[in-house]
Amino acid sequence: MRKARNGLAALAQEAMKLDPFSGALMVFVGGGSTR
Amino acid sequence: MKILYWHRNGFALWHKVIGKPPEVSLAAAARAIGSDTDAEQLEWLLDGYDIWTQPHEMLRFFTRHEAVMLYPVVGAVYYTPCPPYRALQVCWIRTPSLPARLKVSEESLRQLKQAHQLLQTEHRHTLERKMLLEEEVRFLKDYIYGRSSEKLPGVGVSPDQKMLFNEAEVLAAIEAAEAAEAQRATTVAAHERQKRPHSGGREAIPAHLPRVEILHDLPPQDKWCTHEFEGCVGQRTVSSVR
Repeated sequence: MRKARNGLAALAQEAMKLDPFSGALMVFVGGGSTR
Repeated sequence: MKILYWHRNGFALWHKVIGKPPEVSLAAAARAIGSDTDAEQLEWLLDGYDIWTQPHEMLRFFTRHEAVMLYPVVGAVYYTPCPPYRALQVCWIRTPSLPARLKVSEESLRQLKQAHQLLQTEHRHTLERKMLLEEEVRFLKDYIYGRSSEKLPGVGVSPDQKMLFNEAEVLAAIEAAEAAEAQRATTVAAHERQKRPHSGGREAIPAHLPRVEILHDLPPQDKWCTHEFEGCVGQRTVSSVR
């Protein structure tokens, strides 16, 4: 859970093949169960 | 859990850390989120509910009164029984899981609202009645046990409360206080004071030292007087001149 807006946007674009500018909510969850 | 989205002109990042580990794995929950997940379901997820399998049980505080009133309407609610002698004992009510709670029908909801309204009205009336009765009890107690004299009691009257017709008493009190003040004598503790050795002037010569008187006299030829009176010599001048 160390990635911020740029890292997460890149993750969405590269790994998930999604458009981060589409306005959709992208939910990221950490390995632990609380975050 | 982090939620990333594009908000008009920049990325918005929403971050929540759930204090207590939820029973549902958030990772599994996030994988299951699809385009059909609506805002309410997302709220539940953030509250720690597993919206697909087994939601959390919700614990709520109720007074026993409320519990008894809720019990017959919402059939699934059960509560830990409280001692009957403590009417306002706080009880845990373990409400049923979320879907079960959501299955409360319109009819039972209406009944619940009706019962609530009824209780509120009843409660208000009871409070008013209670106040009236308390006032009555207070009055009667005062009537039976209170003092019958019209003399104003010392207690219960505020010290700031001024009396209307007691000028004479006030003046007398002031006079008495002034007299007492005038007669008051201050007692000072007695103490010995040692004479300070060098207080003003030269210290006297100790008495044990010898005294020697030295007389400086003139020879007889020098003893003459301008007045040419024989009797002047050896006399006190002033008295003899007169």
